[in-house]
Order: sequence, then structure tokens, then C-alpha cells
Amino acid sequence: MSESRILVIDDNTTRAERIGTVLDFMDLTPNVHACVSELSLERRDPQDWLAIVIGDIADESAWTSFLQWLRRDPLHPPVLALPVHHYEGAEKFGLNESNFWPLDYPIKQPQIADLLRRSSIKHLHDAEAADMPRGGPTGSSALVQQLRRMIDQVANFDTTVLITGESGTGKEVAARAIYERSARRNGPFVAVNCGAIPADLLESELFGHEKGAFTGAITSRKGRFELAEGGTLFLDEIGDMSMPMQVKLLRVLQERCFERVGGDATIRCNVRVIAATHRNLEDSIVKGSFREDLFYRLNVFPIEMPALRDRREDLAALVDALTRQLSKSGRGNVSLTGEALTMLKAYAWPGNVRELSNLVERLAVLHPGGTVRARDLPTRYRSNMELPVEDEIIVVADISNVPPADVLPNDGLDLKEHIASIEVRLIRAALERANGIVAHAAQLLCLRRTTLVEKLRKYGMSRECDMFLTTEA
Amino acid sequence: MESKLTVLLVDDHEGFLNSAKRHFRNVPWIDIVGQALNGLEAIAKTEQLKPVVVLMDLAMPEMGGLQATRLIKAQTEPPYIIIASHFDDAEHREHAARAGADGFVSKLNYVQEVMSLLANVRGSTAHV
Repeated sequence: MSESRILVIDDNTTRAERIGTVLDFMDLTPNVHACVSELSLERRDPQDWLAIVIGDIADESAWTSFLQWLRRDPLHPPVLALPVHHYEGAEKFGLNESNFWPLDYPIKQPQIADLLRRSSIKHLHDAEAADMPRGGPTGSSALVQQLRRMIDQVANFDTTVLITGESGTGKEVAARAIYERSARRNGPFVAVNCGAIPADLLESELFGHEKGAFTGAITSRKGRFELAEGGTLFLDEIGDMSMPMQVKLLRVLQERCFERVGGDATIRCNVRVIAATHRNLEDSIVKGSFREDLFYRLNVFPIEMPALRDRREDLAALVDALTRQLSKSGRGNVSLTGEALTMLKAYAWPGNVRELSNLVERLAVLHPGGTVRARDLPTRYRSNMELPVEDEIIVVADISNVPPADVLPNDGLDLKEHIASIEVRLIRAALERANGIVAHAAQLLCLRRTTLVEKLRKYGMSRECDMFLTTEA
Repeated sequence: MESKLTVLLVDDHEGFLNSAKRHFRNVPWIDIVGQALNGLEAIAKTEQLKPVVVLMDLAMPEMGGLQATRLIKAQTEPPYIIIASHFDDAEHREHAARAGADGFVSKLNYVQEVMSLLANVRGSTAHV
């Protein structure tokens, strides 16, 4: 079941074959078609492909339905357009310019390699951004309320912010919340994990490089400071930065300008910097691994993220927010029993909210659409408590906190999401009553079978009844 | 006798899995205990087979390597996870590290890079 990675659509079959050969040679998997009508789109997801190369179009009407299908996914893979479409393609096809990249022909290997590398990065970014909680930290504990106040306080000033706290406490969530509430919210938010990038690459990542600056620099490239122009740059794990890089960063913060690696021109920048680290920088200063002058530059407005064990009262709200987000993105509905929640509250959470988030997502994968009891939790989460003997009373976490369908809560609600959750519950009930037979469930809901199948796909429920879909067909 | 390093292979390309298996068959201290064709399968197989190392492809259908890595790392005593990617640059490495991967190798230089990482893991677990 090898999945083809790059879709090539070109009615010029000689050219299509050539592009296929180039991709083959790069060890990628091309999926070459003369016309989109050869694809069975109803069984496909745009995300099956890393990128889509388009050349001559054979059948206009098939092409139109293909475009409709593609546009339905706002995060669809980039379209690499051959020269015939360079000038008006994006507009003509109703595609977003930022996702429509010109590709030269004859194919130049460095160009296509770079475009595909960028497609892959885009894919990773989109997946990560979709997972990142919006709107700041969740919960109502005193610590979180204080945290929210600080975020609101600092958001509208262009001051540098230093966020500290243990790993997994949500430093990036706080940084994004500051950005979203700031006047720079329409500019870019660019995040860099300084600890994850090898020291010798970090300079060119941050400041960019000119062509030929070092072996492998085939083209010139913008750094993250340039990409964040007019917006916010989030420098995570700043405590892991080497001393020479700290000097360079200090200069940017003081003088607001820098040079690309291998370049002479000084580039001025307008970027707000939010830095974060799980280390105690004062200790690092004493040890000689962090510059005191940089510390004072960064520490203009310090924010300390509370550890999850210090705000256990937020646990239920966090689980609720996480399960909602999973179900919204079609990655399964899961709920926890009261006992399971109690057990999680007793755990020390060394990995903080990130650990909780990974656990909840893992449970959703292993118990799709199900209820997680205390005994279903991995051993480390239940080592410090006795398991209940009797069957637990099932408290469905993601429903218990949902307000009655027709009452507007005091703080309002997301109408679309609310309606969607009602729809999901009714569809699930209908499926249960119909023993999973989609056609019968559709009758109960006065829907056509195909409409219900569409909805199942939309809500990511199709896998739950895949076997019924195939046996009926 | 020294015990072998147990490894789970995860990749959506049968061809890749087969050539990797052919290579590892000749390494006496490596035991390929299973394979998975996507991230979801990888989570289940890791739970079931408890390998010491998971060699994980980055891009796969159903569930990709990064998400699977995050979720596998949420289990008790998770394995050592190495991400294999077609594209090797700072951003890909950064994403892998953020997902909790312990190592990163380029698929274009797979055997050399993976063997040196596996040898390190073997060295650090040999005394346990």
C-alpha cells in the first residue's frame, strides 16, 4: 500500500514522464496522470500528496471538480505550476497565491528539490499549528488567572519578553497568546527552537545566508529574523544557545540590525522578540554559559509558567479542552471517567501540559469514540492509587461540560462548533440504533446515505464505520 | 550471550522495508521484531512488541512519524525513536526534536547514519 507522494498532472505525456523520472531519481514517489479524471477523488485526501505538479489540462470539467475538491482543504499541499500557468494560474484556479508556486521547465533539480523541501516544511508547520491551542492558557486557577493578566499587560508593548518554566508548561502557547493580543497580530509569528538546531547551523537559520556562503549554500536564503519582519519571533530554548551566538543576538536586540551569513549588507529589522527557556538563566550566568548582558536585555518582562502539579484544579478543564480539540480536528472522540480524572489529578506531571496532551491524544487513538476508565490508563499514571473494584460511574467528560443545546452560556459559545458537536452526537446515536448500518442511520436522520457518508468523513467518523461502508457498497 | 537490539521498522514503502530488512539481516546484534506501515500501526506495535528502538519514517499516510513519535513517547518506558526523512535541514530536525525523537537520519544516507546511531544505543544499553 505504498502511498504516492507527489502528484503530477500533465496532458503532455512526454513532459509528465520526464518529471516523473526526475522525482524517481530523487527517491520520491511520483504519481503521474495525464488527466485528473484518472483519480478517484472520493477515496483520496489532498494530504495524501506532498505537492501537486500541474501542466496541460486535458478535461476542463474534471479539472473543475478537482479544484473544488482541493480547495475544500484550506491546508492543501502546494501546487507547483509549470510555466503555462505562471502568470494567471492562481487567480484562474481560485487558489491562494501563497500555495501556488511556479516551477520552471525544463526541470532544474535544485529548484524542484527546494520547492519539495519547502512543501514538506509547510506540511509539518500546518500540522503543528493545527495542534497548537489558541487563545492562551486554559483553566481558572489563581496561577492561570495571574498568567493571563500578565499576558494582557505586556501584549501591546513592544518589549522583549522572557518566558521561563519547566518543559511542557506551554511557553509557546503563552508566546502566541501575547502575539495574538498585540498590534503585531497581522504580522508573522515565527518560532525557532534554538536547542534543536545544531550550533553551526543556527546563525544561518536566524540571519539567513547568501549564495555560496558555505558548502551547501546553493541559493541565498532568508533567515527567521527576516521571515518575522513586522511580526514576532519566538526564540525557544534560548538557554541552549552557544556563547558566540549570544553575542550576535545581543547585537540584534540592541541595534535592530544584522547581516546574512556571507553577506555585507546590513539588514534593519522590526521584530518583537519573545524568548523562552526551561533553564534557570541566573544559574547559567554563574556557570559561565549564559551572558549576563543578554539576560538583562531579555528579562525586561519575565513571565514564569506554572507547573501543572501546582494547578491540578485546572486538570478537568484541560482534559475537556484537549478532547474537544481532538474531536474538532476529526481525531476521535474520547471521554474519561471521573475515576480516571481523579487518578490523573494525583499524578505529578513531570512533563506538564504537553505530557497530558500527548496522553489524551494517545487515549483517543487507542480508544476511538470510547470511554477511558482508570484501569485503561498507562501504569505510570495509576501507580499511586488503588483501582476501584466496582465498575465506574461513567462521566463523559466531553459532554458533561457542554451546556444544554439551546441555552447560551454567560461567556458565549462558538456556534459552529456547538452545532457540530450536536450533529456528531445525533449521528452517533443514529448509528448505534441502526447497528452501524449507515443506510438505516441515514433514514433515521432523514438524510440521503451519501450525505451522511459525507458528514462521517467531515467529522472523521468514517473509520468507525468503515466496515459497514464497504460491506454495503 | 549478549542480547540483541530489538528494532521496529516503520515505513509506508514496502520496497524500503524490504531493503532495510535485507541489510539488517546481516547485522548479528540487530533483531527486527516487526514492521508497521503507518503511525497508527506503529503505536499499536510498539505497545505489543516493546522494541528498544523504533526506526520511524517521517511522512506516512494515516498518521505521520512526528505525531506517532509524540504519542509513543507518552507510553510507559518508551523506546528510542529515530526519525528518517527525505529532507534534511534545520527545520526538519527541529520538528523531529520537538516531537520527542531521540535521533534523526537522512534517508539519502540512511544505512551509514542509522547504523552509527544504533551502535550508540547498543553501547548505552549493553550494561543494563
